[in-house]
Amino acid sequence: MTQNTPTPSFGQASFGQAPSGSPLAQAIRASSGQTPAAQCGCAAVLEDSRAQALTLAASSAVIAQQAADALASAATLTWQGEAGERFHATVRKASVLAQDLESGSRGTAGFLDSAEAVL
Amino acid sequence: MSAHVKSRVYGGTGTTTSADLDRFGEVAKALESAALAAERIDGHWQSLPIQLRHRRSAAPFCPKLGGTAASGSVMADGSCVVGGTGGAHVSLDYAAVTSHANARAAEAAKLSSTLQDLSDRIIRAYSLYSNAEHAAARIVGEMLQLGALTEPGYAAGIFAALAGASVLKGSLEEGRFNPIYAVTDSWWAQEGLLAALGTGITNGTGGKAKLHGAVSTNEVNEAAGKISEYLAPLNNAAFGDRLMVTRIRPLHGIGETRTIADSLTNVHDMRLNKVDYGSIAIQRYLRDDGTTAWMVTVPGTDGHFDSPFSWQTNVELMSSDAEQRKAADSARMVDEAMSRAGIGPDDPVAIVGHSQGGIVAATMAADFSDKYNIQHIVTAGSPVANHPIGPNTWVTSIEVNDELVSNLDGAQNPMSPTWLTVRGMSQPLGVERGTAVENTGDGKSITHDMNYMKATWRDAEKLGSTALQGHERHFREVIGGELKETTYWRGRISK
Repeated sequence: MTQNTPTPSFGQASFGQAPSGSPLAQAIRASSGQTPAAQCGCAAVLEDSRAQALTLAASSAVIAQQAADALASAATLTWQGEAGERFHATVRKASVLAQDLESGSRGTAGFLDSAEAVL
Repeated sequence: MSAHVKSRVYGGTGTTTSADLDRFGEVAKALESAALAAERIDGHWQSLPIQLRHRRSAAPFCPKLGGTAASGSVMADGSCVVGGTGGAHVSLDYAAVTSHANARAAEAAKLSSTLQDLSDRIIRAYSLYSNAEHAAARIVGEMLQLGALTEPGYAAGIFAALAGASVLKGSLEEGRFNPIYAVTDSWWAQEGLLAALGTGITNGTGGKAKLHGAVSTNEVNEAAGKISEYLAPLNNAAFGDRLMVTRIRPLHGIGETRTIADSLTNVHDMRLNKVDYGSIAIQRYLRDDGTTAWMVTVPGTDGHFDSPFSWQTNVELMSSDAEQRKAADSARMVDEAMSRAGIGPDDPVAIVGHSQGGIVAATMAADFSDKYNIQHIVTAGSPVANHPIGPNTWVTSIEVNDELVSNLDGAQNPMSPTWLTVRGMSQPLGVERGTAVENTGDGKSITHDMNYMKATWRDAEKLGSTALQGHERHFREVIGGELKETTYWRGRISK
């Protein structure tokens, strides 16, 4: 999401009364663009956040695949009668849910890899 | 809003081979494991936005991450140049990531609950863990019994405190005082504590008593026998023991019995249709092979002092002594009615009974086997675990976990091919899992009621359990044929 409000620089009222030579002021100055942003932690935060979400998306896809495997085994059970029919109908429904989770997880991973994810 | 029950099936036999059961067990485990994994990933997705917020605190003064300011210089890749000095601050689109996380969490949650439901259906339908549950319940019961015999005062105090807390909690949830929670919420301790009480009455609380309690399962029945030695003569002196059985013709009776569900409906209808108290119904069926089969329907305790189904009769029926059981007014009444209806010693007979009616059914099967060919009994909410029923009689027991009455035997029902127990687990108020119980409202009611028994059976039927189907098949075979006649018999006790 793009922010349109200008960033207040150090010394402006919104940052309070921190003395200009303090470590806090330096940190604020670095992060607020008065020194190169390379010194700001935001790039590392971005990468960490992205990595964490990507790892989760990957795990989620694996779990969805494992669920799909378990459901494939369930689909082979011979269970007759009304209860068996209901069981197999639910297995089919759950297989769609597993597919949804897997494709959703892949979609999330794709999003995280794209430029769209970075502001 | 109706109450709900969810059933489990224990014992019985079916057509499923052990190889099939192994396969079903493997699939149930795989589904359960996948359900747990999906549940965990749901939790991770739910907590991701919070964790990312925490990560953002690593750069607390970054205007981009703070989301409070940005210059107008937005780079082509989406990064933002702030202050025009060449420093580019970047941020993940946390709002979009949160939206993704919420969507994945919802998908994982839905998948998890469906997988769990599937696993649960297999486990319940094929009674996969019933042996282990049965053993665990026995251990819990014996431990409680040992504890109660060792420190009876403390045990009584703890139980009273638990019951009081249950009433308080349940009443607060309902918004009105409801003492029924003292019974329903203590179900897990009832069999063990009643067994301890039984042991205490018959053998005291010493070391030998504890040992006896640990190896025995019919402590309550032994105690009932001891109490009956005094109670039965008192009862006879007060209300008499002369039994009169009369054939009656009620305005509304019961319908044909084809299935176990029909038998439950009929035992309930005896009350709903206001058939006179102290009465039973006997149906005669002509089978295809020309033989005659019989269905006997026996309602429960009616509370009238001149009825053979009075409260005090229960104690005699529960005795460990066969002669005491046979002398119980209700057992004598059913015997006489069966005899007068013309049931021969070789005619196949099925009996259904609710509460005391079920104990009578078990007594007839256990103690009148030389007189009648009782091939199948259906008991609903009856404490019959210790009645010595022979292998020629199939027993289908329907119970609800928190109804107290079926726990009065202080033991679990035996598990065997010919003894099937369907146990309904009463769901907390507002939880709509399993099958709805008819005629229940917003408050917790007595779960010993026939509406609960019928719902328990209906829920079990939905499972497609081969064990249950085996019992259903046997029941239908016993009374299979054309209904020829239904007769009604009323018993009265007098001096």
